[in-house]
Amino acid sequence: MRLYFKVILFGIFSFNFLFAQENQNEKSVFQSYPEIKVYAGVPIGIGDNFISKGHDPKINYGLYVSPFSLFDIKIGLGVDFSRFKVSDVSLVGNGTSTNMGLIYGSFSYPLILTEKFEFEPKVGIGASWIQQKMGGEGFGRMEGMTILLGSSLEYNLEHPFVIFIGTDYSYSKYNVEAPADYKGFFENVSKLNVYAGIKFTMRKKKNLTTKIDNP
Amino acid sequence: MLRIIIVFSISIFLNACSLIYDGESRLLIKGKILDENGNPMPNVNVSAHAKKDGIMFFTPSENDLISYDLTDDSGNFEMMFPSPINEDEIAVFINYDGLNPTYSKTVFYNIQNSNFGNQELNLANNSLYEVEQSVELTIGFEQVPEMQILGWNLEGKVAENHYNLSPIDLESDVYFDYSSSNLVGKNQNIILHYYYKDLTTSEIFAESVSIEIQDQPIHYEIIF
Repeated sequence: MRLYFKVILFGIFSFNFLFAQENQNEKSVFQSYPEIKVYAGVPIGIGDNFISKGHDPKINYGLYVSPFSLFDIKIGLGVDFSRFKVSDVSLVGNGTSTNMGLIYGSFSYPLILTEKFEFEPKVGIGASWIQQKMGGEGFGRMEGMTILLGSSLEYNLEHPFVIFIGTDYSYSKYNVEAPADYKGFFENVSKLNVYAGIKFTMRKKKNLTTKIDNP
Repeated sequence: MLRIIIVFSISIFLNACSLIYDGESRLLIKGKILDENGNPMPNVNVSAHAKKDGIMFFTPSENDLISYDLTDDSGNFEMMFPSPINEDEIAVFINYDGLNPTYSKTVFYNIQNSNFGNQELNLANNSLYEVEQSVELTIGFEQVPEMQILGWNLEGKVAENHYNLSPIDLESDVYFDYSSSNLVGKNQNIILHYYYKDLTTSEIFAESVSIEIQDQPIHYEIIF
């Protein structure tokens, strides 16, 4: 997994280096100001599904990278992990914990509220999986698709650091064989992540300000 | 090099012993527990187990626990779990945890994939009775060289009852339970289901017989 991250980061910064000159000369529809977010929080299962009814939340954490923007819309890639503790064995089996993973692509649109604060809604779609664990051993794996709706409130510290809080709602669809009364219970999983984190960005505040003043 | 080979061999052995579960196939086992008067029994422990290292024991703790539940006020239980992939036998143990020590126990064993319809197995109504009201039933069988007794199970009030749900499926390395001494409820008719093999033809037979139990110990001899 580390190798993947290295390749992604190398690609992002190479991309930025190649297009940096173009960005300095003109305010094009394409802007390359890479940013990286890391965050941690709590995953909350919601709705009538086996995650929300059979588990207690433990931890959510993730990494998000946005290498560039098009028409002020940030294009990003992220990985997100959530861990739950089994609370009702009769619903999910005798596992000890359940991990949810998601690799997604997203679009987000930063809205400047004040000089220090930004609000950033986003939508995303990706591939997800659920891995149940019994101690250290696997206790069943599911794979599916996820759509993501989220937003974050960001506070600019000294460049290049930004802190933020956010919530993401995700809906995942899995293909599961289950008794008729419980099919939807395992196929449709919704959850809400509430998190806080730090962002490292190469975009300075003045870039945005200039852009707003002189579109 | 030797160390590497040993570690590699151990890891292969451990992997071979591990059960694999299919998270995309969910099984449900449900049912209802009643007392001998037909009243629902709440707070009865029911657990589902898979074989451990290829062997199913009649002591639940010696098997792999895959799900459990307590009956609700209506005596109902439901257990859901991912389907074991590399092990096709499941057993359900009822009242084995000591919460209701004065009542009888039941095991449904040799539960195969074929016992599930639409991912679901309904064990329906299961009656437990107070084991203080028991007498001993001993079972023996006639020794005939060309006949091999495979096993039996009892239907009725039995202190520790073992139900084989796939009794004559010899294709899947099945085994049969037989216990020569059983505590059974007084004043009832017990049904004895027994299975035997004719060694000359390899044909398997299943027979049933009713045994009248009164308030004294009784012996029954299976005659081929």
